[in-house]
Amino acid sequence: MQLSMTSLRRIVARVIMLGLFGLAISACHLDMYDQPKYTPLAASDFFKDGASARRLVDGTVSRTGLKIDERTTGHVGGDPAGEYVTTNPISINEGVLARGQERYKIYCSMCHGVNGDGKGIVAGPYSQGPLKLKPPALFYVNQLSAELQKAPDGYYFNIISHGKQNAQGDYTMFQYASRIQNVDDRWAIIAYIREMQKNPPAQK
Amino acid sequence: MSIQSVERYQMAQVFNRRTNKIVRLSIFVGIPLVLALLSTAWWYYTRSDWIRDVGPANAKVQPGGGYSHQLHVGGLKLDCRYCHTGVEISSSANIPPIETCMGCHSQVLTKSAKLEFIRNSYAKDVAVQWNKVHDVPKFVYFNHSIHVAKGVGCSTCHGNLATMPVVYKTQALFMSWCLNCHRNPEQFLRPKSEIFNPAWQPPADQIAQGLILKQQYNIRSKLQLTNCSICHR
Ligand code: HEC
Ligand code: HEC
Ligand code: HEC
Ligand code: HEC
Ligand code: HEC
Ligand code: HEC
Repeated sequence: MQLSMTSLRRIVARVIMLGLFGLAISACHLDMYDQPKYTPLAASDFFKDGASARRLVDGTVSRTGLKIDERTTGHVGGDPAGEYVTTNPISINEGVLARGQERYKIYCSMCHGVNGDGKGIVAGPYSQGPLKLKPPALFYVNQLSAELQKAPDGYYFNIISHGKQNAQGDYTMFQYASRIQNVDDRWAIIAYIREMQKNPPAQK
Repeated sequence: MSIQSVERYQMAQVFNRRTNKIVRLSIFVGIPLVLALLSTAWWYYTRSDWIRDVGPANAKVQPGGGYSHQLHVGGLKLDCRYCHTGVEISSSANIPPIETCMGCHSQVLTKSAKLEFIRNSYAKDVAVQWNKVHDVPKFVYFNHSIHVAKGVGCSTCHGNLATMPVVYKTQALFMSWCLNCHRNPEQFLRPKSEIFNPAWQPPADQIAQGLILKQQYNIRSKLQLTNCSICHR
């Protein structure tokens, strides 16, 4: 018996349908897995720099930063050219100190030392190059830290928020404003540092 | 039909009657068997570690020399939040910008060839494109902050990062895995102080401790947490 042309076609059609059915139950749903939307930090081929997250326009003010006062700038009256604030603008209690200690351990301790002695784990043998990572002790161990101890709270606030540059304009300590976004957390860290200065931990 | 072919039909039968059984057997048992085998193979294939990128052998290659959690978390004891700043406050944990690395590496190991890509990226102001390791489908809503706030530690879902030179998945992130914990979170809950400890081990009486913590954290009921619209919204 010979296969007629029609039944051959029917068989081919069936095989194709079966294949399509196989596709339908297995792989056709990927468009819901990868939807045309951007998730945080996703890449983009629309923008030239390849990133979907756009940079802030210069001069952008964050919603919490809209309020310009002593708490958000560390300067008296919120005037950037003015004097530094000398007292901590948030009220300090045990909870704030615990928060300050926790944040200090996360963001400062690897350089300034867990107990503020300037001997953080990163500061030692690893530092190289002309800048030499030399974080100061935050309580009295030498002349430098004695000066630092006298600096007003607002000065500390500005170091955390804007970092510290050397005479050549290189950052020796980078800013932490983008990581410690809540200004109250910065004041809590300062309160904790003051507490360390008042009761210096035992020297090793 | 031609005469010839009729003659052929009259010759001795090639297949005797008993072969009908074999035909029936192969239709009613063989075909289902093959189908069952095929679908089991498909099941294992789609759920395999290889397809889901689980385990160190399936780690993604990262640009440059890559970044080692083993050095920084295991060696230097950096806290996750130093880099993954969003983890307590938003759905996304956040991958740090190069500025975070340069805070140290502008002064630490400044001549290392393994850091060339970091210095280049910073100098030219071009982002490093890390390859995403953990990636739930876009129809799933996941949120870090709630889990971190309610006593689920990083290592429950991501494994011990302090031992990983390259990040790899320790969980395949199946829906059944999410649900297993949403049904009975007490198996995994830990105290607040241990959330970011990458090497945390559950105590011997984890279930008893977990039930106490579940009350403390005020975690909602099984019924509420397995509602489809918690994760598919
Ligand atoms: C990556 C290491 C590093 C980290 C992390 C770090 N610092 Fe520093 N810090 C430095 C270095 C280096 C200097 C010295 C800068 C100089 O003298 O030019 C410094 C200086 C300072 C000073 C003194 C500035 C002066 O005028 O002498 C203060 C105050 C300070 N840091 C506070 C902090 C606080 C608070 C944190 C945590 C939010 C922190 N630092 C995190 C490296 C670090
Ligand atoms: C010094 C900065 C730094 C610290 C500290 C850090 N990470 Fe990371 N982490 C990164 C960078 C950069 C990446 C992206 C590169 C990669 O995936 O290897 C990353 C990637 C990851 C990923 C994979 C993300 C993905 O693509 O799915 C996980 C999970 C992760 N980190 C968890 C942790 C945990 C948990 C801790 C704390 C124990 C931690 N990290 C501490 C910088 C850091
Ligand atoms: C707190 C300071 C600090 C931060 C932040 C930091 N590193 Fe490091 N990094 C170090 C130190 C210290 C070492 C040396 C560790 C060792 O050798 O044990 C190191 C080592 C390395 C090495 C290996 C270099 C070599 O020659 O072996 C790489 C690569 C590296 N870091 C990449 C990164 C990347 C990428 C980031 C940003 C996500 C980053 N680091 C953030 C301090 C830091
Ligand atoms: C309940 C499980 C779970 C816990 C707990 C958890 N993660 Fe994740 N993490 C995930 C999942 C799921 C993804 C993938 C998210 C996506 O694809 O959108 C992820 C993604 C990430 C990423 C990649 C960036 C992103 O947000 O997509 C980083 C970094 C990360 N986690 C770090 C951490 C750190 C640090 C902790 C601890 C503080 C932590 N995770 C706790 C499940 C978890
Ligand atoms: C190890 C335990 C654990 C795992 C694994 C886990 N979760 Fe959760 N999840 C929790 C707990 C605990 C809560 C907090 C419940 C509460 O607040 O009552 C929660 C809450 C959530 C919420 C917030 C619910 C709301 O409406 O506020 C979402 C969304 C969520 N989980 C998604 C996921 C997804 C998606 C996965 C899998 C990728 C996952 N979870 C895996 C334990 C877990
Ligand atoms: C705790 C979070 C969570 C809850 C609750 C949840 N899902 Fe899912 N669901 C997921 C995750 C995560 C995936 C992706 C799994 C994967 O990647 O294979 C998923 C995938 C799916 C898929 C697609 C499966 C596939 O392979 O394509 C369907 C359909 C689905 N869920 C339906 C439901 C329904 C119906 C409910 C309510 C009964 C529900 N889900 C509740 C987390 C959840």
